[in-house]
Amino acid sequence: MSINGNCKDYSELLDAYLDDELSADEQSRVELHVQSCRDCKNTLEETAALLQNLKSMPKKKSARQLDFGFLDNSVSPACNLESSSIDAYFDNELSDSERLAVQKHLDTCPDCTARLADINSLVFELKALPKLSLKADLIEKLDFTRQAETVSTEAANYKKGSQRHRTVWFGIGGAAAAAVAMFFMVQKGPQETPLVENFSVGKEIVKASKPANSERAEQSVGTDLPVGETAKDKVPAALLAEDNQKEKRIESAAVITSEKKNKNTIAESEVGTELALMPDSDDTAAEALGIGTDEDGLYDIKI
Amino acid sequence: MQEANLCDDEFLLDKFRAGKDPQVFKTLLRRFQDRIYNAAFRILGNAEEAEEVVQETCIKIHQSIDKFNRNSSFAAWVFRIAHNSCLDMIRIRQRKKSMRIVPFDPQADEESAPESNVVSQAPDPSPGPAEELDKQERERIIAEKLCLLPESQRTVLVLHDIEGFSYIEVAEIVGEKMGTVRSRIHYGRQKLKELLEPYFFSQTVSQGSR
Repeated sequence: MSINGNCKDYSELLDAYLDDELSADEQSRVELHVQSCRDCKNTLEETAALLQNLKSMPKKKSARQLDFGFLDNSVSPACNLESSSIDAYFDNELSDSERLAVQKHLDTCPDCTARLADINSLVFELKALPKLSLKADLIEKLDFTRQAETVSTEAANYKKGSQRHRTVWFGIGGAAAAAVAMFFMVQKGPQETPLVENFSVGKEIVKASKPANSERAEQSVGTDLPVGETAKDKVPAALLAEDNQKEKRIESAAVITSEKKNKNTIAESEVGTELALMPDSDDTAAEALGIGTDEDGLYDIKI
Repeated sequence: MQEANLCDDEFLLDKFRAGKDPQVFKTLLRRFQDRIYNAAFRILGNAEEAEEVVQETCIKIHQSIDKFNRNSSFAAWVFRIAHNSCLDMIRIRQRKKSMRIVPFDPQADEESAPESNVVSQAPDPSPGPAEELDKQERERIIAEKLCLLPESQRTVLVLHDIEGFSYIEVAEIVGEKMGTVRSRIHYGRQKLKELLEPYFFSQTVSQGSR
């Protein structure tokens, strides 16, 4: 912003001009200058807009009456500064003209000055909070040699047996394999109620969670499978249970069959641990009514 | 303040992109490890979850490193990923809560009072003059009250006041407009001050008119 000698004189007058404190002669001189000087014109417009904003803001705490114009110096102006201005001023996030306006306001407003002091103390306390650090170097355990999906240490242990199945897909792949396992197990074993009609991961595991079948489901998990899957290496119940936390978050990276991700997650967290009844997950009835589930696995009922 | 770090981050980033050396990448990540942990801990109030956020974030950074387009600073981009990870944690925590068969608790609010296994569960000490509280007490109380803020306000305060990001960077991290960030900071500070008032009343002593 280039300020020639003239502008320097005028910039002081601009404020007074807006405050209606100039003589008629001075006023017209300012107006004349502003017509030809873009910098001063901009400054004037910005300040005018800001003052207009200040004027139109609803009053906050102060009970004093607003008297725009700051002409009467015997009464301190009401504090109608936009509420976040003091914070932004403290944070040095205001434009030059805004900052000047707030500075000017602070000169006459004890409430805002007190607020500024409060902000100062509060931020000081926040900054004084100890900076916490990790006890161990978590990054050391991570393995970034793979190009695409990366792996975590625990997941790295599951790599054996399958190169194709990335470890981040472990849980879902494992669950899918478990479902396959159960499906085949049921077919081979004594004729009990078949778990599912259509092969679908979430539903299968959910149905397997009924108490009568729970034991069988648990047993079939982790045993040898007739299918060529390498699920055996991946499915040990204990590991699945341990890895619950990871799976739930890596769910987004998984390949899902027809089921939504969340049901999968909830389901696989149950496999291998106590298979609690989850009445809400049995959504065949819901689907029959045309009610689907939303992304959180909750019934998506449109009102 | 960010300038010096920025040069180094960019340098390491380019070096990694050129050679794909995992050690270079780890060096770069290590700069953020503790910062992410600190921010995540302050946002979530839980050490275990904060650790998982760190790990998750590192993995995701590696997965999408090629997508970093330098529109923002590298730090802001990293924290954006970390912040999303924190939100995931909160969602999971909420889901776990709703799956438990517990009597309905109308006071349980998703955004406030995150589980904390570090902040003491002891009842609040009776409020007293600030001078009587030692440094550890002060810190404990502030951390506790910070956790009582709604997540949106708590996050911006952590990112701005504690981690030192600017308004515009915070806006990039949380994916909101700058005006939203500005107002959240304002209301967050206001609410935190109200919560701390019984303990640190010296803060609220009015200055009186000049």
